[in-house]
Amino acid sequence: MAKIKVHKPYPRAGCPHCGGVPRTKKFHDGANTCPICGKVFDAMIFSLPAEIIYVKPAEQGALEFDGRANAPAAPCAKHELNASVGNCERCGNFVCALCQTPLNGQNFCTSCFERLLEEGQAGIPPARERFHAGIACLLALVGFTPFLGLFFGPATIFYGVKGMRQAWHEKMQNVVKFTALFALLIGIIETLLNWGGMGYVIYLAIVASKW
Amino acid sequence: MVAETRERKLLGLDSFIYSRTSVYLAGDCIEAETRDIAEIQRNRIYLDDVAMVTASRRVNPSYIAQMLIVSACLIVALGLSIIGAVAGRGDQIMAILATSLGVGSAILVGQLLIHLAVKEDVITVYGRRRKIEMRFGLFKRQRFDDAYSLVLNSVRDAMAQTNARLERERPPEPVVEMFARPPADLGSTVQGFEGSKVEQVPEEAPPMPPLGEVVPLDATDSQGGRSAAPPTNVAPAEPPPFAERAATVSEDGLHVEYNPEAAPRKPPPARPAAEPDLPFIPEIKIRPPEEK
Repeated sequence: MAKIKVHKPYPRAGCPHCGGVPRTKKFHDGANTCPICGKVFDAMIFSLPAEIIYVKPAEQGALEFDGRANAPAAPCAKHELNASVGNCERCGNFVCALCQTPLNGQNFCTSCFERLLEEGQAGIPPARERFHAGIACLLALVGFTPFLGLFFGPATIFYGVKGMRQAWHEKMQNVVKFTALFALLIGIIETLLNWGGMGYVIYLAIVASKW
Repeated sequence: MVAETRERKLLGLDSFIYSRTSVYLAGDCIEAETRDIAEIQRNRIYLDDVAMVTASRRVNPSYIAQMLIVSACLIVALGLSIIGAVAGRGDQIMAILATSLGVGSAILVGQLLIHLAVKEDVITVYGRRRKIEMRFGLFKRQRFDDAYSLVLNSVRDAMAQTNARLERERPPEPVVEMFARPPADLGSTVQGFEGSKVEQVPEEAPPMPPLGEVVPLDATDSQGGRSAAPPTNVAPAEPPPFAERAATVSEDGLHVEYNPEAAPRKPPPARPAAEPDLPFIPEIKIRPPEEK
């Protein structure tokens, strides 16, 4: 029998203690008592503004950005029936009000916006990425094992440097910066000890062979 | 909307057994950055997507679990060190170890009890699709107040800006005439009525006075009807005789022009009195019997 993945429902604004959403009573601004669990909490309710995007049909729209008022607008590159409201500032395609995505004062189409996000050029860190400082700590811990530090020491240095760059670039907490720095130092020590020890052993072997 | 700046301000922290979460106010969103051993996950709630912000005081189950695990380990180690000290009969190292473990476990248990008694302040931000929590411990009451007011003010400002932008972008609503007037050339455009003329119906004429009564012009009010009290200082004008209204004689007296509109109207023929409806009775002729 095949398993069916059921998505977890979105959390509704409910009681912070029990998570319940009362059906008969609505929460209000100020002190509230949950009718389900009976606990008290303070709340501030906001009415979400209805985000409406007004799209003109291509026959009726007018190109406003090039000054030709009352001229029939060019259709959007993705939606043929929608009038364009401008150009993507990266690829130059016509974009309608649906496709127009503002970013740092510029307007992009959706595909260019996704590409900028993937390339990390949008100035927004991705929603999911590797935590280099954590990986460096893990490698440093394993590198304490004798002889494994030969390989894990340099790997710790590599990820420690990446972790420090990540922490500084994304303005993380100081704890993360110090963690990356600590892992980097441990990696340097492990590398020096292991490779130094290895070199000393080789030196001793060479000396012993001369004798 | 997209976050346009990456300047972040740390609002609060949250922790689970193996992960740590830092919550930032980043431009136009609240960003929760969750770090576990090898991965960073970022969840964002945009400020104009916030449905509710709550402040509550409750215990942290993950903190309790962590403290219980560590305390249990320390207590087990304490028991072992006590047994070792007793078995060693005056071994100082084991006694020092047992004392230090006892002090450590007592501190942890005390911390756990204080946490259960005092609890911790939690700010929960509910968005459309996810929620973000920040926890503030025993000595971070001021920071909790600052973060709560900062979140509320930011959300209010963002909502006001979004509503103003939506109001600006709303196109003007078209004016719909519920009862549209017919076009002026309706008569020539309607098929089958070509050449016909649409005439404007004049307003209702004032009621005519009864025959024989003379009504001066000044005595009519604006509505066209007769006023209740006619003016007394104006002598009622004598209407011209019928012959003058019906015909006009030229100055040389040779021509007479008739005015057909002034001709007296013939009263409409009187309707015959309606006969009462009688039941239909067929005509029956009775013939006398034929003589043979």
